Amino acid sequence: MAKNIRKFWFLIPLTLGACAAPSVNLATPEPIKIDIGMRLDVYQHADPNMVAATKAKPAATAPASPAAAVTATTDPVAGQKARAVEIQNFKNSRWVGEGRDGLLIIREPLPGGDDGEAIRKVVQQENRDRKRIMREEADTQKKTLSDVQAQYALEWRNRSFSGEYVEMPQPDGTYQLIQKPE
Amino acid sequence: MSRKRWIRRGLLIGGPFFGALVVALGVAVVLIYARLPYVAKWSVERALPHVSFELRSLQLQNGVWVVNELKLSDKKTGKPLIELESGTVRFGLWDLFRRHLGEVRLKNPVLRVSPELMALVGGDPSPESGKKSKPMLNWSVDRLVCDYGEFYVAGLSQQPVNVTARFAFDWKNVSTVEPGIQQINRLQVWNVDVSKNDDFSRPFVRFNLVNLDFSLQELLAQRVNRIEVLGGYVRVGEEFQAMLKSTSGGKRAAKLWLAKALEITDVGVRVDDPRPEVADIRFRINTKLAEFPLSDLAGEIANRPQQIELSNVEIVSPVDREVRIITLRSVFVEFTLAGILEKRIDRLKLLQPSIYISPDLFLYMESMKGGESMPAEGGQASWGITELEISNGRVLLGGEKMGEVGLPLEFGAKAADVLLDNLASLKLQTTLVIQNRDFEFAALQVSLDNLRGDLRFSYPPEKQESNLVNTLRLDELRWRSYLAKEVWMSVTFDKTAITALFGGKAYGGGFNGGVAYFFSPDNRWVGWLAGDRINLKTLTDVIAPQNFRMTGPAEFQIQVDASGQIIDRLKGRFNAQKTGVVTISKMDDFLGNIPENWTALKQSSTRIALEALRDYRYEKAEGNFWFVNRQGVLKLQMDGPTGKRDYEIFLHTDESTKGLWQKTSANSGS
Repeated sequence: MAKNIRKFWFLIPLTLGACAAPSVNLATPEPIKIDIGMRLDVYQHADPNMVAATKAKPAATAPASPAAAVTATTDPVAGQKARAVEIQNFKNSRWVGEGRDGLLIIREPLPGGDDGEAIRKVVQQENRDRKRIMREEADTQKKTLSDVQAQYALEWRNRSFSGEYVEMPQPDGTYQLIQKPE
Repeated sequence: MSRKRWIRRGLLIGGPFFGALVVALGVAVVLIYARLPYVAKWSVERALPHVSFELRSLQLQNGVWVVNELKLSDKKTGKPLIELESGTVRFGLWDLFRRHLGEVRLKNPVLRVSPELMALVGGDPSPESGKKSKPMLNWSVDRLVCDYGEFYVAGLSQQPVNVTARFAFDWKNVSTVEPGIQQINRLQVWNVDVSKNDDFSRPFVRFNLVNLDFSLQELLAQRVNRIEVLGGYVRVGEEFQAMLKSTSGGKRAAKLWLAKALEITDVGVRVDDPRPEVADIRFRINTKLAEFPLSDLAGEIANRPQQIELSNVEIVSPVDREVRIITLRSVFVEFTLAGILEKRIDRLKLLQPSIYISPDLFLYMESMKGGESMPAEGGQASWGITELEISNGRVLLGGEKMGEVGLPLEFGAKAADVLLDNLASLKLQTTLVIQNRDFEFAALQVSLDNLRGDLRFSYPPEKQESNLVNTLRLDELRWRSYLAKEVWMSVTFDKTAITALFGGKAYGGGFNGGVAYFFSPDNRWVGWLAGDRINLKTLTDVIAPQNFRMTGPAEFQIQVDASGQIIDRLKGRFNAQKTGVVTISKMDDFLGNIPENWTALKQSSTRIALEALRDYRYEKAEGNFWFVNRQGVLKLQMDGPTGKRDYEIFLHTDESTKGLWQKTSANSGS
C-alpha cells in the first residue's frame, strides 16, 4: 500500500507548483488603440425597366462613366444633371469657378496626368451644354445671348456655396475670380 | 186750341230743322270718325304749338280706342320726341266726364329725351330757362301698361353723354289725386347704357337692371322712393369724370332730385389709369345709400356720412393682367359727398387683403413710384384718407404663374392721413402688425406657437431701402419631432428674391441661418444653417433613437441649393467641441445574432470588433459631407483613447466607380 502511495509523490510538488504559478499581467499602461478606417459604398439602383430600355439601345463605344454616357446624348439638360456630381467635386477641390459669362472657368494648375485631362474634358462638355441651353433661351425669349449669359452667371453666382470660386465684378469695372465669402 | 196750333206750327217748322240738324250732326260724326287722325292732330297741335303730330290711324274697336304709329316731333328741328308703334285706350263716354280712363296699353313706345321734349313737358332743360312745371290735371287710369319701350337721352347741354335704356311697367289705379297719387309704382329699366356723345358702342356705364319705385306725389316733389340697381359695371375714366363734373355744377344745386333709398348690388367698377404701365383697379360695389341726390352731388345732404362696401377689389400686374398682385375681399369706404368733391375719404377699412409677393408686385410698385413724379392734373390736391384700417391681411408668395404659397401670418394696421393720388400712386408708410396666434400645418407637420411680429411696409418703396421688411417672432417652431424655441425671422422682399435671416435656440445651443428664394419658374432657392453648442445626445435621440447616440456639444454648418422641394446640392461640415461618446446601439442586434456554429475564437474576435465599433469615446470628431442629385460623400473622422475611426460613406446612383469623384484621391471633400 505504501509502495503504491510512493508512486504518486511527484504529484505533490506539481500540485503545489501549479497553485503558486506566477501571474501573467495582461493589462497595458496605455489602452489598446485600434485604428479603424472604413469605406462604405451605398448603391441606389435605378428602375429595372429604365435600365432595360437603356440597354436595348446599341452603344458605339462603352462610356467611361455615367456622366460621359449622358454627355454622348444630345440633351444638354440631361448631360448637366449627370455631370453635376463631378462638377461639384471639382468645385470642392477648387479646380473650377463660375464665370461672368455663365460658363465654368478652370483654375490652373490642375492635377497632372489623366486626371487633369479628364477634368478638362468634363468642363469642356459642361460648357458646351451650358452654351446650348443659353443660346436656345436667347432665341426663345428674343434676347441677346450676352444678356442671357449675364442672367445665368448671376444665377450660378447666387447658387454657389461659400468657399467656391466665382467671378465677381470689382469696383473698377473689372472682374476677378474670388472665393465666395461665408 | 191756340196752344195746340202753336205746337203744330212749331213741328212743321222745327221738325225739318231738327231733322236736318240731327242729320248734319250724324254726318259730322261720321266725317269726324273717318278723319279722327286729323282731328287728333289738330287738337294736339293746338294744345302744343311747338310740336308736330303724326298719327296713322285712330279707331274705335269694340269700345277700345286703338292708336297706330303715333309720332310727336319738334316742329322747328323735326327731331322726333315720342314715338309709339301702337296703343290702346279703353274708356266709356261717362269716363271722359269723370276724367278717367279704363286701360291704357302702349306698344313699343320710344321716348327721346332732349331739350325740346323737356320744354314740352315743362321740365328744366337748361339752368337759364327758369320755367316752372304746369300743374297736372286731375286724371286717373285703372291700368297703364307697357311691355317694352325704349328710352334715349341725347343732346342735353348739361350732360355730354348719351343714355339708352329699355323699360316696362304695369301700373294700376294711377291717379293724380288722393289716394292713387300716393300709390307706389314700379318702373323696370334694363340695359341702361351711358356713353359719350359720339360713341354709342362703348358705354362707360351699364346697369343690367334698375327698378325705380315712386308715387306720383313723390315724382311731383322731385323724389324717388327707391332705386335698385342690379348688376352691371362702371368704367371710371375720362368720360366718367367729365360726367361727374357736369352734374356737380354749382348752378344746378337748386334743382335737387332725391332718391330716398338707393341700393346697388353686384356692380363692377374699373378705375382706368391712363398710364400704360399701371394696372387698372377693379372692384364690385354692393351698397345702400339713403337720401341720395340724383341730380347733384353737392347739396343739402352733401355732408351726410355715407358708407359703401366694395367687394373683391383686384389689382393686377401691369405686365400681365392675369396675375393678381393685391386683392381685397371687402373695402368699406366712409365718406361724405362734400368730402368726395374735396378728394377726401373719411375712413377706409380693408378686410382680408392679400398681397401676392412676386416680381409683378415690385414692377407695380416701381411703376407707382414713377407715377409719383407726375404732376397732378391742373395742380389739384391729391386724394387723402383720414383714417385707414387694415385687418386680417395675408401675404402669399408667388402668383398664378408660380403657384401660391401662403405665409403663416395675418397682419393688420392702422394709419392716419394717408395720401392717395388718383388711386394710383399710394403713399403709405406704416407698420402692419401681425396678430398673435398659433398656426398648424398638418400636411407639412409644422406647428408655430404664438407667432407675432410686424411688416414694415413702405409703398412705394423708399430709395435704397428694403421694400417690405417682415420681422417675425414665435415661441416654438416644431417640424415633425424637431423643436426650436425663441425663433425669430426677418424677411426682405425685392423684385429678384425673398431673403430671410432667422435664428433661435434648439437642443441646448443656438442656430441661425438664411434663405434666399428667387422668383424663377423652377422656384430656385438657396439656404444655409449654422448651429453652435448643439447637444448631440438630445439631437441624436430624436434623429435615431435606440440606434445611434453621440454625446457632447457640436457646431455645424449646412448649405443647400434647391428648386422647390427637390434639393439639388447639399454641403456641410461639423465638429465636436468637447469630448464625447459614440454608441451605435444597432450593433447590439449584430452581437445577438453571431452564429453559434462559429468557432469560439471567431465568435470572440467578432464580438470584440463589434463592441469596439459600438462604443467609442472620442476626444476629437469632425466630418463633412456633400451630396448632389442623391450622390455624394460623408466623411467622419474621430480620434480618441482607443484609436482613430475614419469612415467614408459613398452614395452612388449606379454601380460604376469610374467617375473621378468616386476616387478617394480625387475627392478632397469640402
